[in-house]
Amino acid sequence: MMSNVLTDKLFLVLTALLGITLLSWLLTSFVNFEKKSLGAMILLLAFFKVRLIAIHFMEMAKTQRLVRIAFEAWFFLVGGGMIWGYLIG
Amino acid sequence: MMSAMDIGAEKASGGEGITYRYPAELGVWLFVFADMCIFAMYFAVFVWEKNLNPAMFTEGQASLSTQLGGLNTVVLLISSYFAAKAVHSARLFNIEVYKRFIKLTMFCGLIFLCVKFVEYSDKFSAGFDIATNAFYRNYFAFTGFHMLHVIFGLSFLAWLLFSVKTVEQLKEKTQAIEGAGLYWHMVDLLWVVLFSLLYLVP
Repeated sequence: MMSNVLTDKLFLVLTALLGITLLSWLLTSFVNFEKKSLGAMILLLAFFKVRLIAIHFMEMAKTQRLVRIAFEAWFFLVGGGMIWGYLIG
Repeated sequence: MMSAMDIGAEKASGGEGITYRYPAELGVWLFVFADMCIFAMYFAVFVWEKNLNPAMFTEGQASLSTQLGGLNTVVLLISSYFAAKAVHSARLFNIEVYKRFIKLTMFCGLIFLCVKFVEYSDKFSAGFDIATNAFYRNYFAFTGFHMLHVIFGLSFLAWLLFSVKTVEQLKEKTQAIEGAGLYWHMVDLLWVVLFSLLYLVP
């Protein structure tokens, strides 16, 4: 049973997603970073989670090339745009 | 009997005589992408308004419960895992496991709605509503629109749970199940960004 869980790729992805969520929360609660750097870091972690969900849960890597390109463009434009917009504010 | 995942692997290794099928229909991918673009505009509006009224947004964020928002994030991430397992079981035509995972996904979706109900009740009883200020307008509009997506996803999953009673029906509906899974993952993915933006980013 334990080995099944450890070899289940989806479960490992879930563990990583939960770990990053906990890390984001710890960053805001216990770490004393400069406000803008902290916000940019949290957004970066959020978009890393988004890509993990898209690649492993949505199976983006197995779909049509154009769909893949459109989704990758969304991640980089929306993620990058949000971080840039936040930092210049 | 071959599953879509196996077919993908065969194609990658140059297997012959194998019909390749992409996960979910192209129309569902396009719908999901269009929905994500609408939410991208919401995210942009939020960041823009936050830059215009930083003090109001800091004060609004401080009134939100990070614990409840975090709980909902964990619940939706787990539900996404269950949805992925349901799709995998459907491809293997394992109806019992498929139904178990669909039920678990729906259970998590219902927990999400209950937590959201508690959060909204807290805000309304504290005197905050959509007309309070720009922060609450964004908060209620974006989380409310997202909640509608959760309700729509739950309805879709309920239909797939009750309309699939035999292995034959499971075979017929495999692509619809993949579509529902894809939609549910999008709901999870959008919440991940909303949670960071509304509750965590200072």
